[in-house]
Amino acid sequence: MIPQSDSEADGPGFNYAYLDERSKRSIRRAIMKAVALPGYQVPFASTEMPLPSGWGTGALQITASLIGRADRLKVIDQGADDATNAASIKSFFKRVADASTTTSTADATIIQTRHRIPEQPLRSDQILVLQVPQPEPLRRLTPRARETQRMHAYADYGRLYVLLYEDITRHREVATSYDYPVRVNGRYIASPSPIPKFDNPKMNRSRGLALFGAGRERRVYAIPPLTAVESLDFEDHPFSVQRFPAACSLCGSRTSYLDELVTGDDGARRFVCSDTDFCTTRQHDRNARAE
Amino acid sequence: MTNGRLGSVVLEARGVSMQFAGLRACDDVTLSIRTGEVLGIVGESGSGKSTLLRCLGGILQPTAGTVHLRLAEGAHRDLWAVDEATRVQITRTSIGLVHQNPRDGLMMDITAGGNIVEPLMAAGARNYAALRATAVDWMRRMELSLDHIDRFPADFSGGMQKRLQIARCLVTGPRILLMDEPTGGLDVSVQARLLDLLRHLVKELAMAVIVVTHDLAVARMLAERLLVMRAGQVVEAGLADQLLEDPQHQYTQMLVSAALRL
Repeated sequence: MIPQSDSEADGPGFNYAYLDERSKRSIRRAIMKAVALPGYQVPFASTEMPLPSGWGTGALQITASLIGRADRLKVIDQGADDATNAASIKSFFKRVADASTTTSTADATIIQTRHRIPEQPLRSDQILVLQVPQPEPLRRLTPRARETQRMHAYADYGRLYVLLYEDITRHREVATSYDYPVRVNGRYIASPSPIPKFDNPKMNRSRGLALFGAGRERRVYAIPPLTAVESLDFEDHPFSVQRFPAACSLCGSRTSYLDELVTGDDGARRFVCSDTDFCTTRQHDRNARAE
Repeated sequence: MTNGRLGSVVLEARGVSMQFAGLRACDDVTLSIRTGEVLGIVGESGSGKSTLLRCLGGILQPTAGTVHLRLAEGAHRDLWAVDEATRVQITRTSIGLVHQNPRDGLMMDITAGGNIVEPLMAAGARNYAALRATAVDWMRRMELSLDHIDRFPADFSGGMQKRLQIARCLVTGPRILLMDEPTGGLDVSVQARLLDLLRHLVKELAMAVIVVTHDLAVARMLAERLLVMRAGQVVEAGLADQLLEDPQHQYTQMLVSAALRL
């Protein structure tokens, strides 16, 4: 028998980490299947969460099914720990799972994220949980689920390359800059979620497990540790990431993904790291060295 | 007619039948076609021509019968006995099907060039410059102006859409080309140009062609051999000129006498 609730339940009608144990198990089963078939979208019984769908309910359910009392949770939204979405999800888990939270990428065991992958490479004891609004990379080709499933089944991805062809024809380069499709383990093509394509190379042979949850579309998929992830490209138009015309004005980084800020009416602008933890850690280290 | 220039049998269909709920659209059709040959299938609307073509093209599974195909490497495959993955692979590389309605065969929101090279990308071509050169080459061969290579097929005329669809079908070098009403909906002068183009292509590329049409003049111009279909059955088969000059079956006689003459 699967227990209905965690033995250390905090009272009747409430279970640790919001979901009851049976729901968590069903999600974990879907995750196991997703890990076994890298990049394949596994359907799961997505339930209502106390958050609007599209705000990360899929990832929220994955995190809820994984989190334990020893975990340290980090939640980021567009690279920042203090953005609304991240702050509310963090306070949710503080409340329902008594979770210890952190803003430090190095200290976290579970990192739930939206739109970014942390700059610091993940370790094998860390799990990245990504919020996915649209898990189907072929959706822009056809609205029919049956057809996209068939295309995945037969690896019939020619039409996806047509989109690259069209981009290069029209713009001389691939204009897609986020949610840039990737081929996982040489087989399934998956959506990396709406991260900038700058972050795509970070997924290739990453040491951490990456789990993708789409609550509204009821799909989970995974990129297991050390899995080959390649971004689609042509031989003569290789995949490339964004470059920035300046260094971070706070920490001086030239290797991280930068946000452009307009700082005055005269068009003055500056660039700062999108990953706030990465940036503050670097500033801290620099100040420490100066002293 | 001499069979000297004809190659080996490319496609052989035996006893192909297609039963829809209350309708037998194809009834025990047997045919074979060789490399370099053009076979015409004529008959009135609803006689099962298009259904037969879809069965031969791997789109519609017949309720009975076999469709054997000789592939480039000389292997024989029964199109409807292999698993779906193999069938997709075979139809993608060895069979070109020109749909009656261009909207079924073209991606309307993708440029003409993208439409032409998509089958190559599906087969694994990953070099943009080479793909682009192929698209340009086929635009030229199809007598489509290069100004149109980056425009959308939705903006093309009916004749241009047909030619674009043919280019897309031929780009993988299929063993067999199936055409459903290649001149349907085109005016007479455009028809004549398209027929001219098709005749050149058939001569140039060694492949087998099956043309389905209700237009006897088109059939006579393109095909050497004809099948006459009625209510799902082949009522008469033979050399095109012979069959049209001296029709034996009552239905064929009716069909020939009903054709408009100027």
